[in-house]
Amino acid sequence: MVPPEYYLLLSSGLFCIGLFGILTRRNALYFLMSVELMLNAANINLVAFSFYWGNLTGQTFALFAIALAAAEVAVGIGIILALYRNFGDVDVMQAATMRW
Amino acid sequence: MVYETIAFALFALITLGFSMGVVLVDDVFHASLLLGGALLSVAVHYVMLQAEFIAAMQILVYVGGVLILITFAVMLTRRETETEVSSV
Amino acid sequence: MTDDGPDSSSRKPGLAAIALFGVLAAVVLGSASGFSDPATGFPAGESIIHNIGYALFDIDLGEIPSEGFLAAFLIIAIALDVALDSAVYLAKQEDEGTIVSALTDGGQDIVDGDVAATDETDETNRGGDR
Repeated sequence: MVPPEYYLLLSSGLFCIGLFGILTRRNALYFLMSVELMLNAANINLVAFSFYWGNLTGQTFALFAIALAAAEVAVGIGIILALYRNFGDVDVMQAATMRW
Repeated sequence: MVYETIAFALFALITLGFSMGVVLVDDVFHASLLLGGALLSVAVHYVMLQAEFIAAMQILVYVGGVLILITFAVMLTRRETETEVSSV
Repeated sequence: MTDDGPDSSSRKPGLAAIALFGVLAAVVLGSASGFSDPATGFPAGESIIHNIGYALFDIDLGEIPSEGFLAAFLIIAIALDVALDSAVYLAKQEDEGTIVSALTDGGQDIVDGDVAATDETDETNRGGDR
């Protein structure tokens, strides 16, 4: 097997790229995609250590994380469409009021 | 062993490259397509870790569901020209 | 729709992410000697997908060690229901009636000879399930 610290480096790199996207972008769609990258980084860690220890808990938990990520994207798309309908843009900095 | 490490390094480079493309490209539609490439290469990592079922679920749920949904939202919220109908 | 572009001032918070990667890489490479070299791996001749199914429903038949996930399975089922309802709620048009208005005809005109045509003069109460 590839040594587990390589997988740790890969997933921390993926996580930090997602964090970079969230910190630097203002478009809500980029937020959604960056959150997907960060969730994938966590899943890589779970599956890698599941293989490393010969224990299936990590793989099962990665399945749950994938299902919850799909649900999160569905809700996020709804929020982005509501944002676009009410503010005319998907800039997260413009939505500064609680009601319109 | 050494071939495994070489394959891992190759696909890790592909994954990180696609991910950098997602956060650095300015067109949001291109970013969503690059996200699809990143998710597919993560599925390759799962196959190398004997997690074929997780890889299949990754491709089905992420590339087949999440990516389509994001592309759908990109097209719904796109405003290239101002003369276009802006109703959602 | 292009984003704000390579604006130098908007990229400054990204340095925090790069610094975090530096810290994480230092921690990982510093603790790399803690991993014992040969990985355990899964036993050959044992179906991983069967064992995932056993782990999901707390059935003690699998050979690969795992925890039981029955409670998490049920809780996540409820969470997915909530997510579905909230996605539908967020995606509906707010000024176009209630959530059931997607199931109606949208209040179109009643055609001539319709049996339910009772009050033709009232413009606000015209057909449909507003």
